[in-house]
Amino acid sequence: MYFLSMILALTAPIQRADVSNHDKWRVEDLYATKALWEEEYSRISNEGWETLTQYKGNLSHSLGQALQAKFAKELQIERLITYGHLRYDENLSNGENKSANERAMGLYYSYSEAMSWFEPEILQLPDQVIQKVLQDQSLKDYHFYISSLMKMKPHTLSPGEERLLALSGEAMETAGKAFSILNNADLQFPDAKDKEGNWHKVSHARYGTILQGHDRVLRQNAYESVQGTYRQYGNTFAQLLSGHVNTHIFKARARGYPSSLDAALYPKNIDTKVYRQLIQTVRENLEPLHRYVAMRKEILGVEKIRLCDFYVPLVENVDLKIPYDEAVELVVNSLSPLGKKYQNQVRAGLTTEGWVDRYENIGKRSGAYSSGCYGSKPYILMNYDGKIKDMMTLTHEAGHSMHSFTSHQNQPYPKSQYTIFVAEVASTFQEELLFHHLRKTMGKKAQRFLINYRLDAIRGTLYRQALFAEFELKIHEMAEQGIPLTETVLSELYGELNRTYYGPFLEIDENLKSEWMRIPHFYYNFYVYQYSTGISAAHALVKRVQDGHLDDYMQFLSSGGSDYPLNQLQKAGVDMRAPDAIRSLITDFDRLLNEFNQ
Amino acid sequence: MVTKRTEVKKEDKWDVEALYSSLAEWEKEFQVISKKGWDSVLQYKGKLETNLSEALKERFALEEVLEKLSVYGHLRYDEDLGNAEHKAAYERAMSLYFDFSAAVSWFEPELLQLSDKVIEKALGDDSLSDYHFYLTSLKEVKPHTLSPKEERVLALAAESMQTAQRAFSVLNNADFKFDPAKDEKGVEHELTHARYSTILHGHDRTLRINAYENLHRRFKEYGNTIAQLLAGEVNTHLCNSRARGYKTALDAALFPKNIDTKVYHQLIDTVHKNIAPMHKYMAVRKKKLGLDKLRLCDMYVPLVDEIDLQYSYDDAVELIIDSLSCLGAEYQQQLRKGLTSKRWVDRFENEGKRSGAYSSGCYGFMPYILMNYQGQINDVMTLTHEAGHSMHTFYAQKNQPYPKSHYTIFVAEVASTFHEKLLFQYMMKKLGEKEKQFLVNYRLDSIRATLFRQTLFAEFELKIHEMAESGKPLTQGAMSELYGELNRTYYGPHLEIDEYLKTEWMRIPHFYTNFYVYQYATGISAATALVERVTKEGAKEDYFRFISSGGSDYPLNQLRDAGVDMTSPKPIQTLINDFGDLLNVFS
Repeated sequence: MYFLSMILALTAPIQRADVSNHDKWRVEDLYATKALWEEEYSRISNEGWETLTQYKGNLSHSLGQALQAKFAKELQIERLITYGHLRYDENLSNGENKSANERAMGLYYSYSEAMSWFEPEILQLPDQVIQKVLQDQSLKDYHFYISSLMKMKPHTLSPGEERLLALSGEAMETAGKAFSILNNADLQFPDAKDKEGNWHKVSHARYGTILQGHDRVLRQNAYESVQGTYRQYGNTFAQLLSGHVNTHIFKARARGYPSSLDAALYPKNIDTKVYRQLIQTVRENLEPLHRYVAMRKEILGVEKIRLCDFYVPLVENVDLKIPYDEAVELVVNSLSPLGKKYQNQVRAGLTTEGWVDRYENIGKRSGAYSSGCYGSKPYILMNYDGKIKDMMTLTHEAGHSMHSFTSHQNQPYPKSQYTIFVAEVASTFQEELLFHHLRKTMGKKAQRFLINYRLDAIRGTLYRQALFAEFELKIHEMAEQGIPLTETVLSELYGELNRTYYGPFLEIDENLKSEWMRIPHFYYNFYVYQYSTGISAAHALVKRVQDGHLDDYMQFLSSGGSDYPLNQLQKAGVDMRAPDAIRSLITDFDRLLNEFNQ
Repeated sequence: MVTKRTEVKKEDKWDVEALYSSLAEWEKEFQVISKKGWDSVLQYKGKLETNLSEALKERFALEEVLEKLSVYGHLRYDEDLGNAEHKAAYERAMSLYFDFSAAVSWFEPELLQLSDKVIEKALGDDSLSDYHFYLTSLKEVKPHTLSPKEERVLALAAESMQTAQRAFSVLNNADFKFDPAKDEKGVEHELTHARYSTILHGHDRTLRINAYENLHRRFKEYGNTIAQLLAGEVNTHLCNSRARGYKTALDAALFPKNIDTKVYHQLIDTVHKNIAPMHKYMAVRKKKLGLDKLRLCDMYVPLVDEIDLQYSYDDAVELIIDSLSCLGAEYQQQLRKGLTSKRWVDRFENEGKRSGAYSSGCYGFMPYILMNYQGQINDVMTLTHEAGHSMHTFYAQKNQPYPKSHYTIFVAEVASTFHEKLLFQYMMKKLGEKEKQFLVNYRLDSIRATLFRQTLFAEFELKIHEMAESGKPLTQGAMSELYGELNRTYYGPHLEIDEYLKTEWMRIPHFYTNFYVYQYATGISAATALVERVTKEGAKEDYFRFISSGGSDYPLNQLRDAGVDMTSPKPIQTLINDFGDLLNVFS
């Protein structure tokens, strides 16, 4: 009996209380105890926002003090939030931590609302006030913030018009909110049968798992269950997406941008050429993707690939169980091109310094992420299970963490946060290095698995997201020309793009045409292309580092949020306005595909 | 066998040729207008200050002819929805109209920016008297008009503000499918919005309950989404009212037609204070149906047996004409000719014809009535209802120039329900006991549906706006609780407040139209008061003044001039007293 329970303890998740400190992140470095968090929370919420709102209407003579006060407060709140969400994610059913998380978020919303006047008022200040601040070296930490804000001036309207834009804010969120609640709460999928006639429940999460399984009957039934349900509400989804696109057009026109794309990319100073370049380059290089689909078809032994055949692995996962410490060593070794100092920091972070919450426990959030705040260590949530993909995830998150860590070390708080455009660069950079390292060190059996893994990553991150980006651009362009975005128009476009991208071996059925209906990212604003540009930039940076330009990469990481993302990459030797980075990644994909087919 | 359109006799069809002798003639005018474009108005853009009178004339002239083109299109289309040629004509006319609206969207904003001096001058110019009321109404909303730049932002936001309403509409009308409902014999019946209403009027309670539950279950499943959409719609009203500096969303909705918000509050208060007859009605209904408790699906089944009275179309016309004797021979003559020899009416069902009934038309031509007349008492009621609309329109057009001819929604249901009430009173004198019972039941149900139910809706609408205005989130739970609570208050202890009833708000499309429904309740109350004025106080001329005034004044003034004060509780109280008396007769 005793022996049996030992075995169970090894496989079944344990209670949070039973996790050894060694395996947990050192969240007590943020606040030694929950009581101390409470104390700080009460202090800040009791103090209110008067220390900040006292500057309202007075920014022309007290901008410096106001900036200092604002960023100081923001950092305090960020720290409260970080602790709240880390503790909550340790065990989602812990009511006390859930409430702490919600209270911290509530504090942040209250702060944002209280400060909504701040940027509009700065934008209305006379030039000489701004120039004075920009020349004041004692305020240099805020210079990039101020100059980025000033860039918005040509698209800032009079106070009266800005008031209307602010008033319309909540009503403009209807499409996104209604989609989200329809998609996440109300839509239910019918059960799906497997090849033996057993019924399986279908949910968003289970659909993902089913698509990775080998039972094609089940895959096809789940595909029909999910997409069939979406199609039943196709008019509604079309109306919601169209409504969301309309809000972008409204904002772009109100602020005088030539298009919604311009409006979305301008604030971070991203040339729209980067976006168009991505689509054009991918379109010019689709042949390898067509071959990939042909190869997938061959291996699965089907007449035509359907959308539900895309996620089943073509090679069995190699039967490896890599202990966490070994994984760390492999990760650290893979990072040798970045030098000893970097490697030592990663090793220390992933082991003795308590960055990582390593294993699953009952109630813990699934998946993985990297988080933290300025002045704290980076924190990594893992559900490490010893598979190759877990190791890949570990190095991916460690990449994010090292980006934050290096940025925080080198930048003051107001310049420390990097943009989404470069957010996936360091993480995919480390993934690629680990891939190269494993290819060299692992046995023959693992090679095909590794290549398959990498091919699917490039397909999912470069090609699929570029297709999404093109869809997103096209629907905005159509709406801008007054073409109504009906269900048929959207589904035909989506089918056509899939035909172009994936080629003749993909079956363009009604379910595929309606896949756009379930993609939440279309309710962001020109977001997805950054996955494609991110993995391409990372690939280019790997080459730069391999060519000996280690300092470029370090400088990129160190620059944090002190410059516009295209400049940061440019300085590291990667020009995202040119097609080279994308082409080079596709060449790699092509080469790996040939190798896989041999 | 339903007749084909081509086989319908001429005398049974409306005289649509009076508008255009043929589709080719329509096409000719359509071509002329679309080729000419909108330059006749556009040339005055930025120049309204100096060319106000020319601009007004051109603008209304274009609108008038566009109205004629669209009315012909929709009348022909409704004759047979399967006629592609007519459908295309209708759609082309509508899109020409939208094109015009978009092209002249600058017109009112520019007018609103003109100096008071310019407006005052125009208002003093008798040669522009046709446009005076239009200008006065615009002047009225001037304090809530923003700068041109701000108006531009609001105009740009307009399309995005329609998302909630559009998404609800497609979800409700196109995407929702309901599970079939079983009747007492176990036979399944297909369930759609239209069939639901028919089922609720039927005597099979098993079927009624199953249909009720199946329909509302679907709505409940999507309750979070619908709550989000309705909250989104309310948000657009809040945004608009705050942007324009109104105190509340209700003020913003009522101010443009100069309707005192007191009218709205008064309606709700008066119905609350006089709710006892409604509770008693429920007790009677419960008893007649022999049930322990009523459910929402028991509210529509008639409490008396169908009577087999059949009226030929011509008999119906005679009944209607006789019922209108208090309005005098001239009015009666005019209507008799309209309903017969002048062919205002498209009388009977044919293959592909639009269902239901309406009154339509355009300035300078006869009013048109679409009917699907089948000879039952309720068909006669419908005919006189539509004839009321048509006579209102007829007198408005006869007495007013085009720019002052369109009456507002607030009074739109007055003349029609006025007619209905007169026919009801007339028939009560003429019919036997059994038929009277049927008629009383019919009248009770129509007061319940038009006064009580719409006031409940109006209160729900007001409350959710007030909640949103005080920052309370409009969740599914909050709205369903509120809706249940209101039903308990209005219908009393004999109605079962089950989980399906609480979700009924989810399927009411009117909540996506800004503070609209209360006008059904005020309309039937004003009509009842007017019947009293005409039949008991001999104030026939007041009624004629009312229908003749068309759209030349604000609706509250028009009614006050006819002796009905909608800011007082009296018209509503009177109608409820009527309801109480009828109920006593009935039980």
